[in-house]
Amino acid sequence: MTAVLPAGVADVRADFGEFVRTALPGLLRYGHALTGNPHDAADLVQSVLEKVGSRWSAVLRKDVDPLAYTRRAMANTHVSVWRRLRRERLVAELPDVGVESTDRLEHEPLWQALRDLPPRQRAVVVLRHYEGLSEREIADALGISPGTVKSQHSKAMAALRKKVGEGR
Amino acid sequence: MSTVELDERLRELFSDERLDLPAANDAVSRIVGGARRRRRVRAAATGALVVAAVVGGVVVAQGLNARVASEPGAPPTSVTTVRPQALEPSGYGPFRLGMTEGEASERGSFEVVPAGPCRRYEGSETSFSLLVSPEDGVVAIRLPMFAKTPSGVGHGSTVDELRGPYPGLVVDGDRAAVAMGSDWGYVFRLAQGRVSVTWIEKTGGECGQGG
Repeated sequence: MTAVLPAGVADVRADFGEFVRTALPGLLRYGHALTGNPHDAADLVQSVLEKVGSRWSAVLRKDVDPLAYTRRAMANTHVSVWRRLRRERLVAELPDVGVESTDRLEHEPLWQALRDLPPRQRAVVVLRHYEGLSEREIADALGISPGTVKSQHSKAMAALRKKVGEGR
Repeated sequence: MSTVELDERLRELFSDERLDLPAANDAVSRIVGGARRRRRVRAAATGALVVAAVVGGVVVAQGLNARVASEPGAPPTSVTTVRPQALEPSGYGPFRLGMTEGEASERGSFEVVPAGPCRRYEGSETSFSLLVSPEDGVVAIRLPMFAKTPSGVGHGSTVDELRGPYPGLVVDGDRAAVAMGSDWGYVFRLAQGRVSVTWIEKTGGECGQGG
C-alpha cells in the first residue's frame, strides 16, 4: 500500500530537502569555523538541520530566513556544548589528507589558537569576523548581553594575539 | 600583533578554501530522514503526554468517586484503563535520568571516561553505563546486558516482542526507539533482528547515546 501525503505536506518535505541540498556546503563550512574540526562540524550541522527539519513548517511560519535561523541555531547549540555523539559520517573522507589528520587547516597557527578558545569566545569571534554581525546581533543570537559579547570578544582577541604572537 | 593585523588574519582564515568540507553523498537523505525520525518521536511523545494526562484524570476521578459514592444520588463514573507501560520509570535501579553527576556517582562504583562534551560512567555490571552531561546530568542509561525493561523486554528480544508492550515503537535500520514520556524513551540497538543494547535516553539529550 502506498501512503499518499496531502499535497501541502509533500511540498514542505520536498522543500526542506532542497533547502538542505542548497545550504549544506555553506553550513558545513560555517560549522567547521565554529567547532574547529570536520567531525564536530558534521555532527553540529546534522543535528541542527534535523531539528530544524522536524519543525520545518513552524520555521517557515516564523517569517525568518531559514538559513540565518539555522546558522544562529548552530552557534547557540555549539555554545551550549551540545554535540551529539554519532558514529555516522556526514563528511566524506578528505582525499588529500594523511592518516593522522583530517583537518586541512591543522597546521595554521591562528586556527590552532582559535580552537583553543572556550566555545563561547570562539562563537563570538566567528559571528563577528565570519558572519560580520554587530555586537547587538551577536548578543541576540547567543542570548547574552552586549556587554558580555564585548568582554568575550576582547578576551578572545587577547588570547589569539598572545598565542599567535608566541608562535612567531 | 596589532588589532588591525589580527582582523586581517582572521578575515583571510575565514575565507580560506580549506574551511570547505566535502559532504558525503548520502548527507542530504540522511538529514531529511533524521528530521522525519525526530518528528515521529515527538509525535509519539505527544501521545504519551496525552496518556499521562489520562492517568492524572483517572486518579482525580477515582478520588472524586470515592468521596461521592457514599452520597445518595451520586452519578455513575466511568473507568479508563491505562497501559502499565505509561508508568514505567525513566531509570534503572537507583539511577534516574536527570540526576546530577554527584547524585549518580554516589550510588555506584564507576570508571569515568570522557565522551565528547560529556562523561561516561562505566559500571561494574556488564555493559552498564551512564552518560552524564555537564548541563543536564544523566542523559542516558545503558542497561546491563541481561537487564529487562519493566515490561520484560531487553537483550535478545525481537522487534515483534518489543512492539507488544511498546506499540509506538519506531524502527530505523539497526535502531528502534519508543517515546515513553514527554522527555524520554527507550532506544534499542538491534543486531540480526534482536536487541543487543537497551538505552533509557532523554529525548534530544545533550550527548545522544554515546556508545
